[in-house]
Amino acid sequence: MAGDLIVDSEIRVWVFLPIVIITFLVGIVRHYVSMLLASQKKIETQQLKDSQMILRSRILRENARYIPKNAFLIRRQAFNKEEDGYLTQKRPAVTQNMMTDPSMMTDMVKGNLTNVLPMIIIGGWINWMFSGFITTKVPFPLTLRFKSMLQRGIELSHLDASWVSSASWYFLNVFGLRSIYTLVLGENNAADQSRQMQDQMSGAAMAMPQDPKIAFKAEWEALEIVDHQWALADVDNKLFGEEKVKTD
Amino acid sequence: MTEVKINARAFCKMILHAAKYPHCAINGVLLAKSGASNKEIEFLDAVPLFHICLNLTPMAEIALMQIDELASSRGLVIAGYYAANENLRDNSFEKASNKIADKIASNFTPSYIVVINNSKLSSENSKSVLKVAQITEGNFKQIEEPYIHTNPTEGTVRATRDLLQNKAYNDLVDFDNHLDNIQLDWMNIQLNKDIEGYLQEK
Amino acid sequence: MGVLKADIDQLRKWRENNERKSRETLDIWLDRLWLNIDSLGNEKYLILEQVCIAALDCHVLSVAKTCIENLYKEFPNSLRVKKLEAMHFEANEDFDNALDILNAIIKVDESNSAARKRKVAVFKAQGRIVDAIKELTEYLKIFMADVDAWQELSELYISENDFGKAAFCVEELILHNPHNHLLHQRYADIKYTQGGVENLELAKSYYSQALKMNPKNMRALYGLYLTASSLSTSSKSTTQKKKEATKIVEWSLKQIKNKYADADVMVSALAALEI
Repeated sequence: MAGDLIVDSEIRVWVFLPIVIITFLVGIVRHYVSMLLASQKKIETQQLKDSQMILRSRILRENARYIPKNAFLIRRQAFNKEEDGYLTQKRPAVTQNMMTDPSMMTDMVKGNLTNVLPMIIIGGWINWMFSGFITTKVPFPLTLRFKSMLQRGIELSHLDASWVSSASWYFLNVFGLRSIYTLVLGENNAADQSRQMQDQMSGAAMAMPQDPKIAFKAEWEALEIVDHQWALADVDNKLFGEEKVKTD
Repeated sequence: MTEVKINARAFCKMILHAAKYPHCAINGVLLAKSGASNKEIEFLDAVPLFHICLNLTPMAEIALMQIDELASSRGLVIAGYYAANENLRDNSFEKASNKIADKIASNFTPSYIVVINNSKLSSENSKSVLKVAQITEGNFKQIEEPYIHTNPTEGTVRATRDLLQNKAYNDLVDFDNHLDNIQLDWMNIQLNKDIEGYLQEK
Repeated sequence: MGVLKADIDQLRKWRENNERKSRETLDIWLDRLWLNIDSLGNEKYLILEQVCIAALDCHVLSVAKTCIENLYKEFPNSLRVKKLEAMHFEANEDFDNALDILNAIIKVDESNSAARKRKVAVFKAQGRIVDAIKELTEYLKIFMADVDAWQELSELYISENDFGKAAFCVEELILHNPHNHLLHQRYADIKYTQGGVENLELAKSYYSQALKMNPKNMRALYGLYLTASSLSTSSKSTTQKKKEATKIVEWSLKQIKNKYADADVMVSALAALEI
């Protein structure tokens, strides 16, 4: 093809490969840094107790029909007593304010230090250092819409969409090196940025310290309305019933 | 004081039962000839009962009913209770005794309780392995060692040792095993023959 | 090298399936692994821990000691290794030292469930059943959904003949695991042992349930027979109830006989059940 581009082999040596190597090494360094900074998360006994309590009450609701009515009532009483049941006891309001809890604060800073900061710095540096290069070409034709994804930093309207720019090549590497990291660092490594991103997405909702009160209130309500139907009420007759069908 | 004789068959089965379940408590009953005198008693056989849950009564009732039936058809009677506690250092009669022992005591007087002395199981001296007490109205009157005999005196210990070495305890069936698989025989007729065989060996 | 890998794989399998196999683990260690301690790769410390516990189980204290020393070299502050050390003291019957270490662990990490459970085990080994029960109930106040702990507590209560509380624990087990016939049977056993018409009725239902779940459960079958026959002769139950109970007695007796006939064993002792 007349208008076909030929990419200088110097670009392969000085742009294409360096980006791969840099991203890879940064991932490794990040893994070890985050291991250094990681503080062992201590679970508060109270928190543990709360979650176990909710679990137990849920199981009580689900399987109540397998225990005698009395046994169920005693348990419900213990959970839902007016004054000091497990679920109704007064407890100091948990002021889990992010800013007042220093451990929360350091955790956040550490998280930013290992995740967001390198992303910005390295990304910016690569953009500055290697900007404007075409590095490689994907071996299939793409529509124009991919241009903004694959040709970041190159504003050429008539360039074929399957060419990949250096900045885009960096991003492809960031997300694509996952399986190589697992190979080198083992499972559950901290180098994998794409997972970090996913964590951040869902993390926003998770990190909000749960107020046990709300969960307890819901559990209390659910437990209140359970209607105890003993599953074993007629079991001996059923046992014979089956037997009769068989012998007949 | 009453003389207590323990037949080799009963002795071996008790020890084997304890050896089969080193990690938990076990119990069983001892059979003697009916119409024995107060002066002397000889335990002819032992029936290993449980190792899973000793203090619950339903299965014990079933077992006692069946054993009693079988024993009386052979002119025997349930005259004693044996047990080994779960704890290595614990050899007290109080801990070992439970409803089964009470039941036996109410049916046969004087009845006996035998506790296997866990910590002495590996020792050479055969007699100190067992602690025997007579139950009279809920009290335990321990019988001193000189009054406890094994029958035959010499062969029993040697036979027990050989049985243990050959891991014969794997062949012992207690009532719990029987309930798991009713084809297993809690009277241990095969094991009885083996014990005889070991006794005959000189 | 191939043998070594096979051994490591075998140990990993046992570790992951929570199999006890202490004797076998120790044999593998003594036969081959301990000479190659440095070529175990990244599983070295897991294997050391596993072997240590196996050695304690078999009362080979010297091996356990070496394992602990090796682990201490690598993790001088690990609570997990401290727990092993406590277990070593425990095996030596030096209970005071064991308790000191365990208490120290709990002080540092309040939510350390393993250390708390170990404390219960120490009390049990000392024969202090009441203390063990107390400690275990404290534990269960925090870890309410720990099924194994409930199981252990029920057994402790049974050994203390406190059947009411044992029944409570078994109810908890049934809630967590409602399709296990053994639990239903155990519950019925306890209720039968407690006695009284009401408890017998409960026992009857739970034996039936256990039988329904697993028709091969001989204990449940015998139990059903027993409860029904004592209900049928009880002076407190109504004529209607007595009639029903008699029906169950007949049915279960027939079942028992069938079972023995199927198994091809004739047990003359069964005659004892005929009234």
